[in-house]
Amino acid sequence: MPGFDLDNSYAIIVILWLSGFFILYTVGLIVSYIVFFLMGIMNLGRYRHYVNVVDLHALFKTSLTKPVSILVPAYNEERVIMESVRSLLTLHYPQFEVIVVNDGSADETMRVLIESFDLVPVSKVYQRKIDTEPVKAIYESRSNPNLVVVDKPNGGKSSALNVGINVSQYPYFCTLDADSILDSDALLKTMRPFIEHPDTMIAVGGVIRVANNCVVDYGRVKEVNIAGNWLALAQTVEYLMTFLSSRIAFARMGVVLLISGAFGMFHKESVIEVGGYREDTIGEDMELVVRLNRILRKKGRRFRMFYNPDPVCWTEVPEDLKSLAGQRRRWQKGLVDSIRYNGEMLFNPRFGLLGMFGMPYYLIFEMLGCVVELFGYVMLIVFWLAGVLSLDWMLLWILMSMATGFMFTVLSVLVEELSFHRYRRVRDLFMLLWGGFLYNFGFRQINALWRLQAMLEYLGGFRKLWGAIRRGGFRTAGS
Amino acid sequence: MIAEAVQYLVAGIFLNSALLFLIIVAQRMLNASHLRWASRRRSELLPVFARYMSADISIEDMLTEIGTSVDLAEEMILGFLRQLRGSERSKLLALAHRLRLLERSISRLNVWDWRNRDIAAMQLGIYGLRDSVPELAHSLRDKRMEVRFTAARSMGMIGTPEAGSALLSILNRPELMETTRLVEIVQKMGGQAIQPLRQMLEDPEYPLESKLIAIDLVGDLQEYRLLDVLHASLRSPEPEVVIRSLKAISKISSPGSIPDFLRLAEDPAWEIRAQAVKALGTMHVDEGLPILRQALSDPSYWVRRNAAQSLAACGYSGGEILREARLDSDDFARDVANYQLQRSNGQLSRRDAAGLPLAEGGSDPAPLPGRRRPEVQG
Repeated sequence: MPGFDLDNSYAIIVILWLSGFFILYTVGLIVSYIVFFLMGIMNLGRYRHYVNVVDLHALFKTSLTKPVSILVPAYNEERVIMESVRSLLTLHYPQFEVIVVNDGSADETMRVLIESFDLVPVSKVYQRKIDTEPVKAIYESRSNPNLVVVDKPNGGKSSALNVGINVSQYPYFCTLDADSILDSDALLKTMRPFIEHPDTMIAVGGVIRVANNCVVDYGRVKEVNIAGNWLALAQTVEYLMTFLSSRIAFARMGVVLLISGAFGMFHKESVIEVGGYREDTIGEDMELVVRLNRILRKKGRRFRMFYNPDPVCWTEVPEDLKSLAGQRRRWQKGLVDSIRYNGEMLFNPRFGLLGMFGMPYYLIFEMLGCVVELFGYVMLIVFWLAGVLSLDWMLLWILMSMATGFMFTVLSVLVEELSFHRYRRVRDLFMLLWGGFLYNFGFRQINALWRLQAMLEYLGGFRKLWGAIRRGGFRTAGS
Repeated sequence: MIAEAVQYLVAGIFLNSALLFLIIVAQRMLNASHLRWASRRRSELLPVFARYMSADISIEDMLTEIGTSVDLAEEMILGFLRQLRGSERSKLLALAHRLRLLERSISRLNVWDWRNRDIAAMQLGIYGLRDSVPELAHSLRDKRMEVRFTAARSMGMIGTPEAGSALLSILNRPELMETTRLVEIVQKMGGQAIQPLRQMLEDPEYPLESKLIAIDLVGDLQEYRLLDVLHASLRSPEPEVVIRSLKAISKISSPGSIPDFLRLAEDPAWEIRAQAVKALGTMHVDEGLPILRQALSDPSYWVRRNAAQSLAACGYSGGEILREARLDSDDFARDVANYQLQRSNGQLSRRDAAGLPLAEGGSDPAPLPGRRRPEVQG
């Protein structure tokens, strides 16, 4: 391979620029992660004390806890839907309804629901505040009066959620994936910020944890285990890092740009005010939150969004590369969509920290991170082959990357320890460490590749992707 | 030079991270070992507590059995005191006195760490002794809001008159108010919260936000002794005060409120009408039926919906009106009457009791030809 002509001043300038850019980018990323972890640690300590002394039972008994509609869009979820709905129906909350929206499933989801919950069709009357396609039928349960099932033709998750919002009767709604299980008092904990700020709070997010290999009994996670599959294990660490550090830190700064679609609670009228979920995007959860920020700020309305680190939602993450690739490509396209549709917020001082820090962070480190990371790997090899970088320096870079990866994994274990240590065995800590290694060396690189692929597909005009995720179903107590 | 610095940096990150991990593991192992010990010790002490409570052993023997496990004993005593209401409390309190637990909690009220102050204030509430009221009153001026709330809640649990003024002072500062904690205080105070809540609702000087929370709390307490204040609030020029008062009164279920409900069911504000017809449904009386029938054709969706629900809740007479409404010229009244009848009769079928078929796609009000689409309102 021909080497660089190091006597050429242009080549030197390019190399210096590229090196400077990568060093600055890496340092920026590492520093931001460290700051997020520190903020996460400080806030978790305070919150943990709060949940120890607060009397949630007192809250349960009052009218301050507003009724909530739980919206569960379901597409081909025959394996998990029964367990999931059963779990929701036993939540510890004074008044709620569960609305499952069957989004034209091709499998037996609808039959499972009808048989499991004794559903019968009804002529439910509701307002169509968000324009959606007509539904096929609405069912109510004879055995569970607070269960409503809407059957509609396939139209995507956003469309299912919009139908759910229309059919819902309560002032707050909670979105939940059909493959998720909530802790019994998760709704009560999520409602708390709405009670504290009834006029301004419009959205609250909670923690998502990996349920693979956990034991589920009567719709509740009874035994928390670390996932055995390497992909699920790496995602466990990834979820810990995301939900217990960066989300907390962003929320602390008043920058909430993403409330996971797997679990979030919203003030219904505010969502209707901005037009509900956008049906032409696949990253509907982030797009909605960013749009809420954009439109309500432009209207000059006072509002708050909050991230609550305690209410836990357990979800089954993909364990095979194909499903995971589909999920990550969808997330990346959703991220690009959200930034594109709300681009006017970028570097716009009118939107405060959201415009000057939040959106640029998502653009530079989240959206373009995969490009920079992969380009960095390629450049490292090219520089080495060209003789610009010595073997020692290259090894040092790799070691540096390993060291920071190790540090962030240990910090993830620390936040897990400081928060609510769901993983109780000492062995679990070592498993998390191993998961961190897998995450840093393998998972992250593959993920970057998928995300880059998604970006290229997006640029090529292929923007929709509705890949099905293969579900193993929850591990039950008897299994 | 730079390479050397980077090498040191890498080594430093590795070593410090490894050290941190080992500390976490060691801490976890120590905790696990402590938990095992505590569990074993608790199972040893449990029968001893039972014998002490049934006067089989003296307090001296009990103290000997506890030995150095004072922290564990404190945790167990607090746990029992939370559950017990009767005379058994005095035996446990005597033990707490001998173990100097109260003094310990009182001295903790002044420590640097606010979390410990907060826990101490909570413990004093569980002990429920009037001796600790002066210290708790002092904690009402703590610099941390959390400690002030816990102190007020504990005073409410003890049941002192000072708790009432503490509640008022908290209600008077809505900017500092954490409503969820306030609820705890009022629930612990029970009947003792009546006077401060009355004062809050009657005094025009208090802010609107505080009054709204106070009205909700009266409803939650289902306190009939405050009905007169709630009735007065129904005349308020603030629609939100009227709506909250309607909600609170419906929880108390006072028949004397029906004339007010009937009057407000014809209020010009649709939000008030909606709440009033809902409140009529909670009374299950025939007096409201003509108004509810009329409300089925109200211009507001929510008034019509609530009226149908209230009629369904009014038993046979309400059901009769809903059955008549199925033949109504008003599309919405027909649909909503059908739906409520399905629900209230438990039939839940696509044909109602009279055999009238429900429209195809009747679940969705929009697609039927010639039908008026419900307006978006509320």
